Amino acid sequence: MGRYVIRRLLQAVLTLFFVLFLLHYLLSLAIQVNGNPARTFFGDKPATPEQIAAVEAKFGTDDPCLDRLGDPCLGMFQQRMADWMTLDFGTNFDGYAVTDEIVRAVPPTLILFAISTSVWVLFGVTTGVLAAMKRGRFFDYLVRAGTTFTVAVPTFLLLVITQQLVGVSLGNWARDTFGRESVLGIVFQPSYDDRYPFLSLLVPGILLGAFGIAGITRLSRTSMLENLRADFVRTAKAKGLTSRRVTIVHTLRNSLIPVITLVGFTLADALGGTVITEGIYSIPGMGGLAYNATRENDLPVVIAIVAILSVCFMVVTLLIDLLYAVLDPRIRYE
Amino acid sequence: MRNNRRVITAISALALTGVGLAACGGGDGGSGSGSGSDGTLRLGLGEPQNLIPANIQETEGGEIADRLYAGLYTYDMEGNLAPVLADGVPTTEDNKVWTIKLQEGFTFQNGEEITAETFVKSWNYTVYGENANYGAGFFKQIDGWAEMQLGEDPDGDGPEEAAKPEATELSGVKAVDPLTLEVTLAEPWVGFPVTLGYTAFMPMADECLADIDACNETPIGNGPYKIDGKWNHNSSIHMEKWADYKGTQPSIERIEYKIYTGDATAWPDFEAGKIDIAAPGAEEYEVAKAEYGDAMREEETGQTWGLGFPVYDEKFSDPNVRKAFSMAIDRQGYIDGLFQGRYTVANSYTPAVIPGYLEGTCGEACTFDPEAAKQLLADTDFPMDQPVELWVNSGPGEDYLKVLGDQLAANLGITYELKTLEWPDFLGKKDGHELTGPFLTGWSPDYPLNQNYLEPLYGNGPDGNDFGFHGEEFEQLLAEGNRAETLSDAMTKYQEAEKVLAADLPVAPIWVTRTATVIGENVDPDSFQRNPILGTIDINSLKLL
Amino acid sequence: MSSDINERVVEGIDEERERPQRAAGLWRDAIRDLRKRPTVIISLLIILVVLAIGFFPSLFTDVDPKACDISRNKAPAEPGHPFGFSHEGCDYFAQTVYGAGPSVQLSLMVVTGTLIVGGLFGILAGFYGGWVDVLFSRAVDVFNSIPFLLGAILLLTMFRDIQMPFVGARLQAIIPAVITLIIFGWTSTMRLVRASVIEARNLDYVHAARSLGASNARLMFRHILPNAVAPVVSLIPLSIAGMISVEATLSFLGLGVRKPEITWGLMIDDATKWFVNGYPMLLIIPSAFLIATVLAFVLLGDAIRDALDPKLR
Repeated sequence: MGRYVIRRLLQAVLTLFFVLFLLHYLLSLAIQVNGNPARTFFGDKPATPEQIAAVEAKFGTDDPCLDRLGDPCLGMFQQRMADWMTLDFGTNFDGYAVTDEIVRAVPPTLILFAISTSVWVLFGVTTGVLAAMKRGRFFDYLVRAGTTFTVAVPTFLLLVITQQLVGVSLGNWARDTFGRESVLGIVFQPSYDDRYPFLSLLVPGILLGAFGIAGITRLSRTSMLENLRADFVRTAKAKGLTSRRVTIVHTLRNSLIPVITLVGFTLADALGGTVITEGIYSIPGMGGLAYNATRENDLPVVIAIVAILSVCFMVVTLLIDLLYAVLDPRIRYE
Repeated sequence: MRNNRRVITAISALALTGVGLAACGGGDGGSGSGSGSDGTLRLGLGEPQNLIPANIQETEGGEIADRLYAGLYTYDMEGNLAPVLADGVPTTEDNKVWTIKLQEGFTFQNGEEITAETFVKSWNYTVYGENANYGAGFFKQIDGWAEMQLGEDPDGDGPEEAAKPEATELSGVKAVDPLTLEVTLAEPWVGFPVTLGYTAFMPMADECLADIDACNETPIGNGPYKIDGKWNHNSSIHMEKWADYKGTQPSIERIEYKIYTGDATAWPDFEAGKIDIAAPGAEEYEVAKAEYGDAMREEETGQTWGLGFPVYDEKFSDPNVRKAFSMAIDRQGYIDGLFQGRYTVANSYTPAVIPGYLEGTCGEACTFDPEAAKQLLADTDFPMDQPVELWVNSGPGEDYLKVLGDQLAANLGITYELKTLEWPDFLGKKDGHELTGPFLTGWSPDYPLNQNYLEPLYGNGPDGNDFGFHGEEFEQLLAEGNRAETLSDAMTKYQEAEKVLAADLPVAPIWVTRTATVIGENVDPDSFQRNPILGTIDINSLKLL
Repeated sequence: MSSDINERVVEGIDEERERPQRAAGLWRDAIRDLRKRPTVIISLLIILVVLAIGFFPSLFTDVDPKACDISRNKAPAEPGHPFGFSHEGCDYFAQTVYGAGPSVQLSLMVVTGTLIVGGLFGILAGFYGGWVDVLFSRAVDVFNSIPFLLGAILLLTMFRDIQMPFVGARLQAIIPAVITLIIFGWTSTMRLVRASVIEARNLDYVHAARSLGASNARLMFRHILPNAVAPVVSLIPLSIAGMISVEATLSFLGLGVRKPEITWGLMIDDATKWFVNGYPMLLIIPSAFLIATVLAFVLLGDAIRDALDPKLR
């Protein structure tokens, strides 16, 4: 187990290095291909080469390697890595420390993920398990149809329609009926409200949860079905244990192992989903930051966020692997 | 780098119609549901790029600066210069040396006094090349500007550093005494005072210059409002009335700006009663107009849009080709269809809100006549067999240009392709004269004078503008205007230049943006007025109910 | 291992003879099973129609979707224009028909691309093992570590300005998205194929073929590949469904197909704000087509997976 952990960690560090280099190279290429972003500082207004040079120097895009197509800019990479070691992500193109921007963006995203994860675990797993136990009956078909449908509706469509129908129409009714600061009035609103971070994130959190819930529900169902047929469950039943005890203690616990893995992976996948959710609901989180920075070509912010999210992804998958090794005694690593 | 939203781009249209003006929203006071009767005005805003006057370049930052800072002058509703910190208008003998008198008793919110020396220091900071401030360009006409800029880089982008600026102080700006500021221009220009109402000329406190980054987070202003707390990025900016302000005290006690990021706008929140004044987006406009009726105000702005031609390109070097394209555009139909009629047809190069505006300078060339246009084009050498490439930067402008392309295709019998570029790439290609077909272009004013719509855009010789345009008579008339004795003489010369320009048509003017603003039930609708030059709500007149 | 080679060869040959029959049996069972399901029939019908629309839109409408007249913006349906007009004055039925093309073509190209790239890398990694495997597996890790949508957004924002030579405007509109999605999409196919290849590599009939002198290429593509295909096949319809969704999402974000080309994602993007502003049909029409198409592929994919792997049912 110890050697496995060490090997897995080494792999992660290696992967991280390549990811960071890849991102760095892509961004250097982007500047080489699309032109130096310093020019956009002046927009449509004319600017002298001297003025542009001053802006390039201010924002650190004055390295001559950025004018040579295909140059990997290794010097810049070294410098960037050295800065990142000290958690200094540089400044964005408005001159603000990217680290500060990211620190500010973390809490809303964490709350969002807490809500989404609860949706997956509470709603997804419960319906999946219930469907398995009522296999072949109406509820089972309903769950299967429902999950198929959530897969078929693109997330952005769901978000946009909900924002209009729930946030504006239903929300206005709630605010008129119960008052502007009532719980329902705050929950049903079209955008993030920093005075009520949790309540105003409830709806977008649930919608982000809809992203990937189908997979979790279905896996819970099939995993439960497999285990209901498994030998050890049959044995337990044969021993005369009550069916509730069999379900909860034996079947459910074992069925949840693969589900936990999937929750982890879905969480990691949803990092991308936050970009759309936070963009549409104007949530000042990591995804919203990435969304705006990409649109504004604010490269230092983009590279920092993608790098951080990639690290999160790696940590999550690492934890899943380790957890898996602990939970499932059948898995033993060479 | 961010899209510069103050300058006209496709993106800025989004800012102006959606977030930006929503930002300029109004007030809340007494309120329908009882919770808003605290004298607070709640507005929406896009995330500003910067709150330092020296570096503000878009409507969002301008909105905040307008509340927190006070400059020498501002512009009144007609676009005339109105003193704030200054005592009367600038005086001069020769249009080269200008004297500005200051009023006594104004201070910053940290207690520092505002004297002529304050402006000398602030402007030196703004202009100094290594500080790379956006506002530096506004001081170009002042003597000594060039010496403050970085020297030429000896090896282009090579490893050697560009030479440091020769001077650290702007030689043309002097404090004669604590209340007298003397500005010497490089060349006499009667229009100089008109530029002084812009944000870049606002004063900054010593404490602010000593630590610009801190000052950006917690501005030290000198205006009617004082920031409450600090700038909560991507979230909110709150401010309270500053009781010690010596100028006109507004009636609203407190303003809370909520910041919207990405595509989100204040409109849904306005409908939800959480924002007091907001601008509906293009799609919400018709419904909002029907729903809010009199509570919706529509006003002209100084933002103009047009179809720019690459005069440097062989295909578009013939003025008749450009005229044919312009005449093939049904401007009213375009505005009615795409913008639900909310914008104004442009038939001049200068918009109506700008002093020096002359109606109909574009004349026949801006009148829709598909038959004549087709005939005109057929008489030129324009190659009909290849598709016309239309260029735009990614964003809402893609839609605008597509519909223009549809009209051109239908009325001229051409085919078209849309070439969409990212903003840096688009700017680079535009600067480098590499765009091979017409492109969407726009302009918003730096200062209210018709010259601002002419010289920076089409002057400076064929390599000095985006269109590769060179009009000798045009540049001659501009120069005469710049040397004129009085402002009205200058404007007349500029108008003559505009007429000459219109015959050559480097750009086909298409529309002038109008804002639509809906005033919530907590604000007195009669007290609402928007400054057409600054684009901000006149906070002094605004009253809550 | 090397002892008793003869015996192994004999066994292996038997295995090889027997194997295709077993595989065919699996497929035959699956097809028989699929034919009995009404959802499969309906899904297939929808898919066929969508494919026909996607590749031959002119069979379904005579109207030019790009002939737009802004004065007819959002005009209601009339004879000859059953869906009315878009906010840019284009015939909405023609747009809906032509809007299927990029979605369908893009998703098929992406899925084919990921199958080829992922399949090839998977076979190489699984067959050779050793450093080849390490190399490809690390590459998978690297690409997997960048969240899919974020990676696609990043890449498309940075590189879609690149003009490709020898490519028409229509393909130019979808190629950047296709390349991006393949770059971030090949990893799951690669892992599946790699796993099956490793399993198949050690089967006796492969050893047999090897000892009979079959080349590596022949071993990989003739003997191992056919057996590694099953898990990938059920993935295809689901991948197509996913890619149609992703295409719509990217277009919605303004990163996919660009105007004046037409796709459902762009139509939805344009129509979103009109939904609560008096013109709900502009959103409902392309959304319904999109959802129906994705749903058909999802149902088909589910059915195939169930048929090939009966224990999951």
